[in-house]
Amino acid sequence: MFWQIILGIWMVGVIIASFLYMPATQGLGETGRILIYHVPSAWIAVLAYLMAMVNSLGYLRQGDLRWDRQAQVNAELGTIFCILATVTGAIWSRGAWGQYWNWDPRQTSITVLLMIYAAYFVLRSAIPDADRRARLAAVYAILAFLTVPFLVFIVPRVYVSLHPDLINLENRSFDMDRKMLVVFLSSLLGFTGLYAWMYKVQMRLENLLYAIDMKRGE
Amino acid sequence: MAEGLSYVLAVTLITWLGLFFYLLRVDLKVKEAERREEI
Repeated sequence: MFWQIILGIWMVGVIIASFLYMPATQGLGETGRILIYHVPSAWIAVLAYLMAMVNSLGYLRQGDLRWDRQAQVNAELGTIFCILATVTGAIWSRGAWGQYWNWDPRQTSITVLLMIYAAYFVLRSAIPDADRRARLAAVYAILAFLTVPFLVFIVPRVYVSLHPDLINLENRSFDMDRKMLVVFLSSLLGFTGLYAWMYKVQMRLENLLYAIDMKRGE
Repeated sequence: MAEGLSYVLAVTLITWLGLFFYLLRVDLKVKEAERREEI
């Protein structure tokens, strides 16, 4: 329980710093502060989807249903954080572009990504047999992740997008104020801790449900 | 601080604290369920 309390205090610090310590972003104004929450959400979505793929590979190699439960939990968390990134992005878009949604390549690609992972849950719910469900879902999760780098990193850079890029590819550096960078990296760390906590709680819950199912089956 | 920004800060803090205490409660409930499962 100790590190969870630390995480709670840490995030309170990040939230206060993102409003009081960090200056308004150049060109983006006060709405630019939302990137402290938007970018880490997107980062966690990619990380969770990556873990779902790694877990799926684990299942296909070993056939242990624990891997399947881990992949499911990671896909769920990835989708939650992907929705968070979409919503925070839309709020920022309203401030910067005047509209919540304008089908910018970045918005379009994240919608496609959400639909791909929505299909993963539809697939899971359509197969009653646990082993068959785990096998098909694992293959799908691996194929689904192959689209993530393409949709998150390539498409928005190939097509003309209004979305600002934080990473300066020429200098290989972050395009942000030093104070902002400190808050941003702290937020990234806090969000990663939050993901780890949510993952741990959900996994323990899934394991309990599995144990109850096994007892009923005996 | 710009006008309205303190309101956004308050809403963000309340949202985080709500999520944090909810997660803490779920964590404790799961711990209790695990303990009962062991018994």
